[in-house]
Amino acid sequence: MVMFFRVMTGIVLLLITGVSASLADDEGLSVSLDANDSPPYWSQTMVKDGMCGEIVHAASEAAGLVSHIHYKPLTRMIEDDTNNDLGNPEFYMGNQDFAAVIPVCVYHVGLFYYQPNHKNKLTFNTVDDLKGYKVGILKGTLVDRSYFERAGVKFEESYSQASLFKKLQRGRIDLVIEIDLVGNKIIDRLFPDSHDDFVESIIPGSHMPIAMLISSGYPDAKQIGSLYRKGMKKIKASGLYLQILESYYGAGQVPDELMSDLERYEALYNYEQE
Amino acid sequence: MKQIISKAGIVTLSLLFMGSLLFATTASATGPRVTKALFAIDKDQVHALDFPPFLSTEVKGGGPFSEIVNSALEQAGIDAVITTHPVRRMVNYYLLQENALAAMGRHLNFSSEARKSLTFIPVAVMVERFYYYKPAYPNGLEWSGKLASLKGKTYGAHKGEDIAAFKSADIEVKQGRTIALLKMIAKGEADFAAIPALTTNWLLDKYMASEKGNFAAMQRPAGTDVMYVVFNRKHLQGVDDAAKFRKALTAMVNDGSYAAIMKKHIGNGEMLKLYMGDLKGELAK
Repeated sequence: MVMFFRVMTGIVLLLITGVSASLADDEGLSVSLDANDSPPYWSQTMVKDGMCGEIVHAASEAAGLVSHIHYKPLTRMIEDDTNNDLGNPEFYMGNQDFAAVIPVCVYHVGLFYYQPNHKNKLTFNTVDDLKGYKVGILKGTLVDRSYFERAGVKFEESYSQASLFKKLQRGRIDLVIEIDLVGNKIIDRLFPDSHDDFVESIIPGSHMPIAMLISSGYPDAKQIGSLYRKGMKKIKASGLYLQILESYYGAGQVPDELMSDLERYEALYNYEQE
Repeated sequence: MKQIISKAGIVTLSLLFMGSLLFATTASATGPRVTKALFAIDKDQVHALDFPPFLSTEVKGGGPFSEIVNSALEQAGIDAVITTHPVRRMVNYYLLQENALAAMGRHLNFSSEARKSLTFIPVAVMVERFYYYKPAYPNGLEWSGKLASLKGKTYGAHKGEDIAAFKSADIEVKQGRTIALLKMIAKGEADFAAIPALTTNWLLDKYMASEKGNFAAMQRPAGTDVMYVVFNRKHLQGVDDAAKFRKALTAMVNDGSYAAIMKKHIGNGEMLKLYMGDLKGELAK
């Protein structure tokens, strides 16, 4: 009888707190987040869900939250206008309103080339510097096609990132445009003995945000957003945030501008929210 | 030897394979978005609110308003690129907090203090229609031309839109972005919203295809709306560039190149008239 009342009390409490989507467990308020598998940023096979996964879990712990990351195809995440998303906000904000957008990291875009295929060091500052080269990109990522055509840039599109870097090494293409850490991870995997033959040149000003996006219809969305912000503040102050970044970039290898870019995105996504 | 897979089976498997390739592209697209803005660190920025199909990176060539503004910028000798954003507050942030050269959009609703340092230049005059949900109004929904005829209804207003006339006509107002307004109307949370026909069609096709047939427009137009490029006088080039841009745009209207771009994107039919309002008059104000 006592057990029956305990169970019923538990059910009533769950209903009262409106936690059908955000179940409270022993450790804290539980939040469900969707990510697209994109190592090393988000990865279902890496420890603690990859670099940004580690940041999310650390910020959650610091704020008394428990985050559960579920991996889904990008298109499903974009079409679903009720879920919480992880990733570049640009992908999701077109079709969904969010109560809170909390940047967790910034990625940069790099131009990679294979040094043995070029006599001199290559430098790139403007789109004109790409003229004369065959540039490899992932299919589906080219947005302003007509602009690049007018600028005389030739692209070769591939269905996989690995195939781009294989073509680069064989000299079938001259350059690959890829996210910095993603490109380096692919090179490590495919060409572990000749990593140093690949040169990466970060495109100036190519920073893009990676964020937690809490859906406006999610229970306690604003409170959860506020807790995540507090958690991020705590792990940055304690040094844990930089420690996580360095475990992926290497000690002293975190891009200088990453922290200032992150602060800029925090200001952008919090603007007029207060 | 007996054929294990029929011809139809081979065709089906081939189609599935092709489909899997297409699916894989979109499902695991983690590459960087290769945009004009990616290579624009040395250029000034015009931050714009995404407004398909008139102004959007998802439309070929960026859409007619994007092409018109880019042409005017080029002819004025202004080295700037348009960067689109999904929400208004992002546009406002870049313009007012980071002092970008310009912003572009409608319903921008700046404070009177902010307006003191902004120069508004109209770039398009559009007719909007009131859209409603047919299942909620099986006999149709119309208005007389006076908002009082919609008293008691709920209007879905764009954030930043002037809602004083609706309030004074005892019409409840809920706010959101265009796509959110269409979803509110489908859920019965709002009764109607003023949106250009081409935008309604584009958004319904992309995000609410199964609901498209349930939306209808009232016969009488809701009114006209103006799209602006807003130059920031706090930017070093803001004052000069605004003057040069206005001159270049006026020349485009006068020599017919403005109309030619609109026709290229929209066609030469009745639809074109809806988006070719009295821009000359607006520019003269």
